[in-house]
Amino acid sequence: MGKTETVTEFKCPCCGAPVEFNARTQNVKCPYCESEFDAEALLSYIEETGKESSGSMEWEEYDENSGSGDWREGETEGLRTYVCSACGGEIIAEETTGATSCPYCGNPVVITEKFSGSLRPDYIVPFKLDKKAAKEALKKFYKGKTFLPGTFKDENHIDEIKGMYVPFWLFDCKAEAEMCFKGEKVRMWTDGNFNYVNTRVYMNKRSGVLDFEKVPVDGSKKMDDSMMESIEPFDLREAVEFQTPYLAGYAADKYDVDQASCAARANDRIRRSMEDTLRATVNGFDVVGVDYSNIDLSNRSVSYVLLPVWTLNTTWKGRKYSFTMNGQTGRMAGDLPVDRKKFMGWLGLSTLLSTAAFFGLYCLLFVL
Amino acid sequence: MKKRICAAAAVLIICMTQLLSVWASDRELPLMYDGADLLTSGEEQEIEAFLEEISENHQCEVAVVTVNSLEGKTARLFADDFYDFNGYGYGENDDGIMLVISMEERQWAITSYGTGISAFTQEGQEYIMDMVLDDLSDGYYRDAFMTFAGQTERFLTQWESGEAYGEGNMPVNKTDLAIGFLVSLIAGVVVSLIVMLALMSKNKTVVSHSAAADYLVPGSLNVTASQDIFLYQNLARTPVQKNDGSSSGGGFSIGSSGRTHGGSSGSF
Repeated sequence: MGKTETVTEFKCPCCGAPVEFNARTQNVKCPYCESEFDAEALLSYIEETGKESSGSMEWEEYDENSGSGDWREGETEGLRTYVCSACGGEIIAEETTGATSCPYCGNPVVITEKFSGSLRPDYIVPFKLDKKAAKEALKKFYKGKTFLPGTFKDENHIDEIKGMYVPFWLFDCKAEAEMCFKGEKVRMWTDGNFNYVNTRVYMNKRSGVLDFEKVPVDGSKKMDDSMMESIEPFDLREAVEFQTPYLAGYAADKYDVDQASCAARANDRIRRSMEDTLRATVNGFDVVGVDYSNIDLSNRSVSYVLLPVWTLNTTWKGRKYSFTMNGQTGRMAGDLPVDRKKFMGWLGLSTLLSTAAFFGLYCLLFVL
Repeated sequence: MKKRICAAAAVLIICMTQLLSVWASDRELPLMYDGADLLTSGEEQEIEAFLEEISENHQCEVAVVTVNSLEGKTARLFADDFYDFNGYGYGENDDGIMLVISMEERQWAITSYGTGISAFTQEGQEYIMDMVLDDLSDGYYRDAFMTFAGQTERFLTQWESGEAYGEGNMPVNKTDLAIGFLVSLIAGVVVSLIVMLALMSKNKTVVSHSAAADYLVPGSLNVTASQDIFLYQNLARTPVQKNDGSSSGGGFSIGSSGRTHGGSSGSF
């Protein structure tokens, strides 16, 4: 009975085919793409890229012990929960503020319930811009939009403008990363008969540590995540400890996406920034791609914060358009309609003019 | 020794006689001489008639010659000699232009003489051959020769008006204009589309942020390891594209007869 042998097969980093050791050149050669490697460099590459991801990007569960804890006694007495009968949206407001319509769908509200449950926010960033500023910002937002239908500005009216505190989870951590990039140096030349392209491929190993502070992730299902990211950044240095008086005159959303579900989004953004930052240290290469990355997070902490957002809803030709404004910085976001006729007209005119210009240039250079 | 001197003197006399006869002789071959037998007799007659008409109208002979071989000569020299020794050229000054193509070498040459030199500048010859070469390469000889004849007539008419077509004064080629317009149109559409889509994108402001660059703690980056290891290299080699139907330099050349011709040559 034959002995069982274990054969380790090394794969070519260039094309993935099994490589062979060439005794004559003392190098490893790929018989398919004919790339040659220094044996030690290849081994190092296989070790680096074959590593199991050992880093952890897990976040501890957030509970009342993690943050500012549960609501203080008597603190929620003046608060009410308003539930929209149409879309199910749920907001919190002071009893005195009331809520006349749903900030999400505009439906006249609402069922009023006594406030209960949900965690007390750790921080709040108070509104810095008022309703008037939000209206002005919307007018300004319309400016410079070439293809905005002319009647949109005139015909539409703001149906509803609401100041909302939107719940966000903030993630703090120290990210420690080991990354492997593949960098290419490309050189081209010609000898008259042939064009040559020489590509030299390197493994760029980088390790580094980077601190992230208060990476925000929208904790409200009703608020579109992309919309919330569009009005970032918030200046979180201005966050203060949560106190109910800040809610006066505004509605507040209750978080309905927990910290664990939001962590994935925070991790994605942290990973991307880590890659971007370390990639920026790989200099002198024409092409750089990520081959392997392992990120470990430490000093992790999560906090729960309410951020100020103005929501503006308008209706035009039977369709609802929603805009949001960062209540702290005034940054505005929202998709506007495009006037197709205007677009086609401009495209036609521009094509006509640019074709005439190009043809004129052609005649000037080659005909006249 | 005496015999050798006599023989040399005889050769010299014959050559001299031949040279003298070059200027004196009348043309014995047709303007459309199809030595390589590329044309039907109908086509030959058609082209011959056209060439005769042009030559008479402009008093400058326009000839087309096809041969099987250049007999070891360069295309330019062969064309010059064919022109001189077969008595081509109009009137006392032997004014004319001739296109010679040789099938074995797949080469062409233009030779011009007298007013032919002034009427067909280097740029002019390049322009004419640009229009002729495609048909010539594809084997549409009748079309190629008719185009050549048509263009020479156009050039002769222009020369008679006072200024020959030449550098800074070339006729407009309709195909080039059409291609130029098409390229301009495509460029115009692409540029306009890019600009218009960029303007349209202003209406869409809801975008996700894929990174967390705003939340990095400034100055907290500490690169703990940095190493660039060479893995492998590739060398790709592609042949440089070279144009077919090339045209070699033109200018003046001297035939075996000693006369100076204008002309140009190339392959097809």
